[in-house]
Order: sequence, then C-alpha cells, then structure tokens
Amino acid sequence: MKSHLFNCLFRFGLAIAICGVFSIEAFGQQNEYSVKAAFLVNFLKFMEWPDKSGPYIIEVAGKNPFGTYLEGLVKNSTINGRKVIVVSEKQLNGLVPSIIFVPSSEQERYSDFLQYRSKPVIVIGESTGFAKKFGAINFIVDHERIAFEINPKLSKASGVKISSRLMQLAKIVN
Amino acid sequence: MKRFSIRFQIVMIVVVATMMAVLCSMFFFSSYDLSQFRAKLVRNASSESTFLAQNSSAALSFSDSKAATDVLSAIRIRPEVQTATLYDNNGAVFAQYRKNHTISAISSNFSAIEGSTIVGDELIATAPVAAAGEKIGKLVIISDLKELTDRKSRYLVIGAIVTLFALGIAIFIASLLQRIVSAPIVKLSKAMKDVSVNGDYGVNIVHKEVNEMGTLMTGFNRMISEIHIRDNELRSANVELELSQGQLAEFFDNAPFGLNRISPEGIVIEANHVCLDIFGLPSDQFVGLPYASFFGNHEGIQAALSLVSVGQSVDNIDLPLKTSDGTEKIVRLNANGHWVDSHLVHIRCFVQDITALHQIEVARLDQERAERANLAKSAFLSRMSHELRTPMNAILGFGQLLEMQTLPELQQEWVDQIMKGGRHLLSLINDVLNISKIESGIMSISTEPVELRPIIEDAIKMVMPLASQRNVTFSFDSSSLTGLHAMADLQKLSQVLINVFSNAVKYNVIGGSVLVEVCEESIDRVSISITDSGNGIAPEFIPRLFTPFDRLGAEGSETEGTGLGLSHSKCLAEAMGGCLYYDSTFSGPGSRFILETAIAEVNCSEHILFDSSNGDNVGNRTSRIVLIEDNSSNQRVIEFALADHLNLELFVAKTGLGGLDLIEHLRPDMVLLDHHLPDIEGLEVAKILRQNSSFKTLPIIVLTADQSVATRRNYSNLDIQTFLAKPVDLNVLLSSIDETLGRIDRSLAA
Repeated sequence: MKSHLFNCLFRFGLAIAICGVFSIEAFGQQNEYSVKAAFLVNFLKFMEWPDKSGPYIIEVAGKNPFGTYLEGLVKNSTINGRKVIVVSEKQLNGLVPSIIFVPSSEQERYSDFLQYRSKPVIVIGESTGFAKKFGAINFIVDHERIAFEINPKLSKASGVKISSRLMQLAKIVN
Repeated sequence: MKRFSIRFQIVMIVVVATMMAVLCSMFFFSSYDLSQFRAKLVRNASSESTFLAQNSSAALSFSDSKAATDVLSAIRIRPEVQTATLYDNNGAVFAQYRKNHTISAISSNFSAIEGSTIVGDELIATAPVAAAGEKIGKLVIISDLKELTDRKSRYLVIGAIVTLFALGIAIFIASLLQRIVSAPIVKLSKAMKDVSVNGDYGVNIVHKEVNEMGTLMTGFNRMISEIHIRDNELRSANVELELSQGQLAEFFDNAPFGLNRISPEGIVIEANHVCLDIFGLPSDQFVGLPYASFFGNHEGIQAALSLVSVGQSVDNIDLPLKTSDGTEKIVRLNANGHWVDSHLVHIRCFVQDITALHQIEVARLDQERAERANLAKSAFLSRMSHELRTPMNAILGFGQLLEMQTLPELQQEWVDQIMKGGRHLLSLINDVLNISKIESGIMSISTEPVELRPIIEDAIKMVMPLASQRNVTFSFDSSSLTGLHAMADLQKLSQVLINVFSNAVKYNVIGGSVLVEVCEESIDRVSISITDSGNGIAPEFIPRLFTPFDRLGAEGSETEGTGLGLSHSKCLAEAMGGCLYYDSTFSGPGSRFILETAIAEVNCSEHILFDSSNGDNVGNRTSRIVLIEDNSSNQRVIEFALADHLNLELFVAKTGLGGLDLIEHLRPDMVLLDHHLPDIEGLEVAKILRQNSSFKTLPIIVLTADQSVATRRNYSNLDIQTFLAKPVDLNVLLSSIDETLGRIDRSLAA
C-alpha cells in the first residue's frame, strides 16, 4: 500500500516534470530526451509484438543520451503486465529487444540496424530521413514540438502491430 | 349528475371510462417509452463517451491536445452534446469540445461521477481514458435533454390528439349504443308516467328483451296488472265499505230510537234524529254541549254517567228532561261505555221518550186510585140505597096498607100526606142515587136491541095514572113502528121515556095533550119527539134545562120534582149512545123534546106480550108463595098485601137456607126472594134452586134495592127475569105475581 502511494506520488511528480518538458519555452537538451524517453515507454503501450510474454526490452544503441533517466522511468513499472528493461548493446547478450533507440550520435553505423528489418523489433531514430530506410519510427520536431514519423511498410515488415491511434498521431512516411 | 337523463348518463359513463382508459394507456405507454428512451440516451452517451475515451487515449498519452481535440470534435455529429472534455489524471482539462462558444468552459470536477447519469436537465456521461490498461485520464460528455423534452412534448400533443379522437369516437358510439340500454328504460319510464300521472293501470309494455331489462318489464307488467286487480278490488271494497258505512250511519241516524254518543267528560259527540227530536233541539244546540245540562235531574244523570265511567251499564233509568216550554218529558236512559285497553273512549246512550208511557202509567195509577174510590163509593151508594130504602119500605108499605083500609076522612088525608111525602122522598133518594151513580160512572149500560113500540106504550102506561089525574091525553101512532128496534138499555130507555113523559104531563096544562112521534132520522138513527101543549119554556131557561137541581122557577109551584129528571135522562141517553135535547126549532105552543138513539137491526123478534088483563084466569086455584125476607117490616107489608088475595098462600123464611128447606118441603108455585139475606145471598139461593131439577122452572121474583146491572145479569143467567125494586109498590107486586102465575097457568094449559 505504501509503495502504491509512493508510486502515485512519484507519477504525479513525473507528470509535473513532463508538463515542464512540454513547455516549449523551457525546451532544452535534457528536456528533449526526457520527452523522448516518455515517448519510448508510451510506444510500448500502442504496439503489439508477436511475442506476448517476457519483459519489454528497450535497447539504447551507442552512447546513451538519456543518462539514467530512462531507466528510472521504467523502473518498477509494468506495461500490459510486462516489465520494461532498458539495456545497452553490450548488455543484450543475444536477446531480441522490443525497441532499439538509435541516437543521432550513431549516424555512421545506421546500416548495422538493417539487420532487424525482418525481426519483431521497432528501430527508432532521431535523424531526418531515418524512417525512410532504417527504422519504422523517427523522432522529429514539428512546430517546436517533438513529434514522430512512422513508416508503416517497415513496421509491417517487422511484424509488430502499431495501434491506429498511434498512427493518427504520427507523420506517415514511405 | 342524478338529474341528467339516463341517455346522457350512459354516454357520460362510456366517455369517462374511455377517457380514463385512453389516458391511462397513454400515460403508461409514454412513461415506458420515455424511460426506455432515457435509458437509450444514457446508453448512447455512455458508449459514445467510451468510444471517445478510447480514441483519445493515444492523444492523451502523447500529450497531443490538438489530436485529442480533433478526436473530441468528432462528437459534433451529436447535436445534443454540449461539451466533451478530456481530463488528465490530475483532473486538469487536456482537451475540450464545445458545441458553440457561448457555452463557457467547464472546469467542474467530475471525478466523483462514474459512468453515465442524468443530473438535472443534463446528461453527464463519463468514461475513463486508459492506455495499455492504465488509466491516464477521464472523458466527460455533457448533453442536454432536449430530445427527451421534445419527445415528451410530442407525446403530449399526440396524447391530446388521440384523446380528442377517442372522445369523439366514444361519444359517437355511446350515442349510438346507449339506445340499447336507455330505450327500454325510457319506455318503462313512460309507462310509469302513464301509471302515475294518468292513473292508467291498463298499460302493458310490449318488449322483446330477454335480459334483466326484459325481466324488469315483465315484472312491471305483472306488478301493474296485479296493482290493477288490487286497485279494482280495493275500489269495490271501498264502495262496499262506504255502503256499509252509509248503512251504518243511516241506521244510526234513522234508528227508531234515540241514540247518542258522549265523551267520557260528558260532552255530546253525536246524536241521531230521533234523539234530537226527543230532546227537541237542533243538532248545533245539542252536540258539543254537556249532556247533563239537558236533564231536569242533574244528580240523576251525573250518577248514571259516573256508573258508566266505572265500567257498569245503566239500565232503564227514567229521567226528566229540561224542556224550554215547561212540558213534562221523561226519557228512559240505557247507557254503556266503549272501552279500549281499559280506557273509556265514549259512552253509548240509548234514550227512549217514555212520556206517553209515563203518562199512561200515571193515568193507570190515577185510574186505579179512582177505581178504588169508585168501589168505595159504589159500596157506599149500594149501602145507602139499601139503608135509606129499608125504612122507606116500612113507611110506604104500611102507608099503602093504611090507604087500602077504610079510614075516617081526616085520617085518610093524613095517610095521603104521609104517602105523598114518602113517595117524594123515595123519588128524591132514587134520583140522587142515580145521578151520583152516573156521575161516578158506576152505572153500567148494557145495550141490546129493544123494540120501540112496546117500550113506548109501557112508558105511557106508567104515566097514565098521573095523566089521568091531570086529564092529559097521549096520542101515539104505533102502527108504523112494528119491528123497529133501538140499540139501547131497556131499563134505562124506559126510565128516560117515563121521565120525559111525566114531565110532559106535569108541566102541561090541565086537559092538555102529549104527542109522541117516532121518526127514522137516518138508516141508523131514530128520534122520538115528545111534544106537549103546555106553556112552553121561557127562552132564558133553555140553556139551564139540563142543569141538575135547577127547576127553572118551578120551585114555588105545586108541581113536584127534584130538578134532577132531565139531567138524569140526558146522562142516561148519552150513556146509551143517544142524546136528549130541547128542540129549539119548535115554535110552540108548548115545548118539544127529542130523544135520539141508534137503530138496531133485528131479523125476527120474539116478544112475549104482556097481558095484564088475564089475572081472572087464576081464580080457581090456590097458589103457594114462599117469601124469603129477613126484614120483618117488609114481611109484614107483603103478608098484609097478599092477605086479601084469596088464591094465594104465603109462607115466610127469614134466612136463605131456611127458605130452601121450606121450598123443598112445600114445593111452592112461586118464590119471592130478597137479595140481601143474613146467611147466604139471594143469588146463592137461586143457584141452588136451579141446580135442583124440580125447581128449574120455578118462578122467582127478586126483591132488591140493588138495581145494578151486574146483579140483574147474574139473575138473568138463572132465567130470572122479574125484579122489583124496594120499597116495593104493592100494586106492581100484585100485578107481577098475577102475571107470573097466569103465565104459568097458560103454559100449563097449553
């Protein structure tokens, strides 16, 4: 009970934080990634993987721009009854991640992620044109607001179903 | 409602019932429909809110308020939705749809409301917004209820139309169908009206109904016919009742007795005609007044009424009435009470006018008293006649004996004076006795057919001695009188004739004449007129002619008389049914008296002709005569009188029984019998003699001072016809003896 209360308070505080992040005027480097971290977690909610058991695994490829924020965000929380784990490439150890976030710092090796094309993995980038070739989802800034693109061809190829409601929010690319 | 006609009532009932049914069904139907509609509204709102919540979850998750607003705006197709608001988990508005901008932003906290509900005139539908099973916000849709209100209004309008339509149909159908029920009722009520207003009990309702109405009408018909029958019966019973009441009233009114009813307080309630006649009052002066006030004897009537009021009856109480003119009126009262539950209702009185009865009773008592007095008078007179005549017997008897002697002239004159005085005294006594007998009514008259001629001739003979003294002649033409009989008492008639004839002689002139004429006045009346040739009667004396003791101035004259003769004769004539009067039409000279009597019809007359001239025939035989007489002077007078009679032998007995012995012993030819005897009466002696066959025809001459009819009849029954009044006129005695003996001789010779 106590933990539940704590959780609630925590979420409340987080929400306030998000609200602060949403404020465009206060938009900054840390805030950008906290929003993207929340988006990553939320993506889990509107997608359906073929494998319905085990925890959701979020892999942050390369240099981790989130710091410890993302880990903190998912720690002790479940989505659709499944735990969420944040891992690096090294920590993967042969596991198939649910989502791979490819920061813009890994621009040189984008092609490495093409290997996940026919696998149930959603590759998410943050560079212009990323969704055209390398990943199903790509973060963009639209009217000073963080938004995202979805390439349905790629998502379909991965076998992960993306909720239409998410699709409605996204900018569709081919 | 009760004063409306049955038709209207039926229509009203149908209409009201129909309306109620329509309204009820409308109400329930609309209520059901509205509730269903309302539930549908809630359900719709609920599903819409859920749909929107689902669709807006991603937008909320990714904080895309624009997208969320776009999602919410999809609800615009529902015009009733006023606002749709998306709240985040903090209760802050994330996105909102407003139907139009006049609606102010809603920022109320609907966290308390779960699901969908209607609050006031708003439908509030909420749905949680969830992403991956986690609640991330709340959607609230607020709709107005205009649709519901519109539906309600429509229902009202439709309901009104349907109601009006149903009303019209109900009125129409009820108006058509009410006749089924109301027509028989109207028919029945018309028949009822006929009965009650016109009194027509002959009505008969023709109908075809077989339901309750039919039963009612059949029952009505039966009832009316029953009433009709009973009405007729009642009417006839009433007629009979009236008739019998009328008869009763008629009986009461016209009953031949006085009937009345009086109240217990003594007030007259009603009275019938006879009663009013008895009391001699009109009804209004009798009814309503105290009964006792009409009686002369208040105590008597009060006592009688109080007897009734204690439960007894009054029987034959005689009470005098109070009459206005003071005449005596006696009623006989019978009364009893009419009691109901020991309470006196009225008193029935029965009155009878017994005044006449009472007067008869009084008269009867008077008569009895008078008869007793008369008996005493009669006895006194009888006694007087006997007591006065007995000494006269001696005086006149011995006077006659002296007259027969040859006396010196002076003594002869004295004897004449004695005899004259004696005879006058005797006639006075006789007249006085007769007149008082007549006046007292003692003298009885027994009328019988009497032949006129012999009686007139006998009367003339009787006055002949006097007439020859005065040298008066009688003229009487008897030739036409044969067989004419008068209805009269023989003795009384001859007495009257003798009186009138002797008057005609006495008051005549010397050498005058008397004319006797008999005239049949009518078929049943005969008049005997006696006309004398005297001086007549002065006119002033005529009214006093028949007054007793009035001698009309003859008192001082030499003519003898008592003044009683005419009045006595008149009384006798009237007692016999005749009359005696002075003929004032006779113009004289002299005077005329007329005696009228009734004529008797006699077919054959048997009359023994008296022949006094045949005394010589008995000369050769000595006849024995027994005299029964207690008075010694009478004995001696008769002894002396018969002493000179050669052919007679006289034997004397002093008592009746002694006389009977003597007669038995001597077997005489004749008996002279005194009526008054010391031991047994002469009548007894005669009876005993007649019972003996040897003396059945023995001639008996009764010597008596008692000349009463009864006495004579008693002797007549014993076939004794000859009576000689005491004092005995010796000449009459001798001639009677001669006559009787001569008759015997003649009958023996025959």
